[in-house]
Amino acid sequence: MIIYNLKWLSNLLLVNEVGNKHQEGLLSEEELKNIKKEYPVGFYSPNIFVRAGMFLLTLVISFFSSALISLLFAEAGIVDSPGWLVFLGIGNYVVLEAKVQANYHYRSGVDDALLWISAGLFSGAFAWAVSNSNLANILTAAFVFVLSLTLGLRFIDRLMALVSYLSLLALIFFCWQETGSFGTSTMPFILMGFSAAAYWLFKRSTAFAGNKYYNNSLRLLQVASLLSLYCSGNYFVVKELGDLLNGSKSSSLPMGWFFWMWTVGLPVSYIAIGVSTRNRIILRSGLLLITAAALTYRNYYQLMPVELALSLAGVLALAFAYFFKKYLAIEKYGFTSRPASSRNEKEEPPMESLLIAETFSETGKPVVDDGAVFGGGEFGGAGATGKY
Amino acid sequence: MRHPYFEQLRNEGLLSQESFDRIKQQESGPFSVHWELKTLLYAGVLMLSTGLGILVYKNIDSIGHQVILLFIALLTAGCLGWCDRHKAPFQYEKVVSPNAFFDYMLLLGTLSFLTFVGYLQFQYEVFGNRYGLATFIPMVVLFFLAYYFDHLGILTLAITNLALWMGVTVTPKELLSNTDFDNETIIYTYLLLGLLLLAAAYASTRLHIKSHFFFSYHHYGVHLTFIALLAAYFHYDFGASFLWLALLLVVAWLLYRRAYRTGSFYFLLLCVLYSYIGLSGLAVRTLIQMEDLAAAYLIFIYFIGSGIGLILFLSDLNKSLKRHDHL
Repeated sequence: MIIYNLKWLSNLLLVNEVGNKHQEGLLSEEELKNIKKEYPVGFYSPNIFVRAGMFLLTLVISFFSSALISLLFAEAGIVDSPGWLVFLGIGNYVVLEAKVQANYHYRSGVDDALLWISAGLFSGAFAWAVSNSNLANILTAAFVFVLSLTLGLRFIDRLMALVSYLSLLALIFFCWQETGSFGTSTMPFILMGFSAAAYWLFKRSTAFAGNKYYNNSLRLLQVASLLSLYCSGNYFVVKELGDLLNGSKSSSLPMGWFFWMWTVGLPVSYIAIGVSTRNRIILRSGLLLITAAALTYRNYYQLMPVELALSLAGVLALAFAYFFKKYLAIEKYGFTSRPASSRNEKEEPPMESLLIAETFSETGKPVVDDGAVFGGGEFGGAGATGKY
Repeated sequence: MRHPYFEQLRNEGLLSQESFDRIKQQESGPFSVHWELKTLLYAGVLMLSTGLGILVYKNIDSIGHQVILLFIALLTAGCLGWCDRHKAPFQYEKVVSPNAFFDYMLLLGTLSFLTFVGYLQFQYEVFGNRYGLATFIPMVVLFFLAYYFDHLGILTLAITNLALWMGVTVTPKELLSNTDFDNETIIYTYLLLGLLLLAAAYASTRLHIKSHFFFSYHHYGVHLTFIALLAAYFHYDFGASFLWLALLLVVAWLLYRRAYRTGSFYFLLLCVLYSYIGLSGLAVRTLIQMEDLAAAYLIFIYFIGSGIGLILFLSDLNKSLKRHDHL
């Protein structure tokens, strides 16, 4: 099934792990060199920036090759059909297989680009071919699922795995929708059940040694299933999606209390579970979803204007972070606020500073008044200065 | 232990007992929430500074607004004062920041300062109609803070403010959506700014004044210089355009040599791709003169051939640089 040399693949896993420890200064240069010699990896995997360049250039080459061939055959009148896309897809896929098998490309940019181009062409051709059927959605979702699952397994691609999970979710959604109004009203529970089962399966499979090549894919799938579990019961998603499907405009949901509990309670449970089981994936999902819960709540109940809410939330977040930073400076209950490793920071790109430039460069510019009136001088954050 | 690898390696004699023990100790260490707290700090600063930035403008006519202004001033003074007390002593080379909380308090102080100055100009017009001064002063303060406290994030903010003072924007989002490149003044401004930043980058390493600021200056400098040169090349026709293309290639060659020497894949890739865009522009603009279907064939063949050639070139580059790869 897997296209790559399995011996190299497992050597690569080992060498990567050892490389990480070496970066943290836990083993010597000499040891790393010997291990690399003893566990050779013959893949062609260039530097990340070279990979990005090759990815772009492969897109250019593939696009213009397809254009050239299509132009040559334009007279014959066969270009304007799904079959032509399949033909181009096969062409790209053959090159991909050849590059990987003959030249040992592994995450070289060339293989990434060809993988996505051929997957896109096949899916596009299929969607085009069935577009007139009244089961078009179901058929397309099923096709994308099978295709991305196959490719994800064969090329061990994380994003393909994610696409296959999402298309399976879509497939279940569309199939259940076919059952009519019963389907629409029970949809959240079906998707919740599916997501929960999927999470359980991914979690169990990650621990299984036979799946070691798919560990990264499975970890991403764990995150995806945790998020889809939340979204299936999120008040906003359930209400707005239900309205969209029924073409109605409801003012509240049946069993609204349940969905509100889910919206607010699940992120908190994630964090609690993440902390108590030391599970970083659940913990981070929970932290992310707290934001989603806050935004959902704000969408229906506005206790205060958005700028005041932002300021207060900011003060709270800072106070929280400061408290735990101090509190966990010395290890407590197996937690610490210090970095886990003393990774050599010189090697890392200064991404943080670029992010700061992108998100904060607007600060200080006057805000154009949109006429919204502020509700008085109830300003609560002023006490915060004392801390600094 | 998370990975059975290390035990295996020790048994094979590839890993010394000391290294094995070190790894084992590290793996059984406490659960670090460092990154989670750092993200929270970032989110907190983002929310608070955005919130205050809107709050102060929405309350212009109420009594509350003076309180808010006072709060922002106190926040600025408080954050910067606190940072000044806790900072490591100044030196010309890199100073390691005490911790992540320090970095974000400094950022918060700086951002509230920007809000404060922006508001003073908006409401009281302290700089009158001298708009240049209204962006010049924050810029100088930002550069000062970046060097004084040794903060890369504030340095990038200073660079964006320098651009603002010169009348242009540099963040990718703004650059792509709001900039009209078919305008000589803008092209020359970008070129000047790009060259200025490149000069600052080289000065940093040459004079050993905060030489780790090199990347930030160089990153913006390289992008802006290339974008300006490309814009100039496509803006003009015939004679003048060749001059700009030649200039582009010369700059690319100089930057390429330096990037090769320091083993920087990122800047090598930028040089290669930007020159490729320029040369492809030349090819397309030349071939399109034919006004014939054959031109389309030739253009397609050009892109296929040059693409394959460039991939081989990059592959070679990767091989020859692999020994000492950096950013």
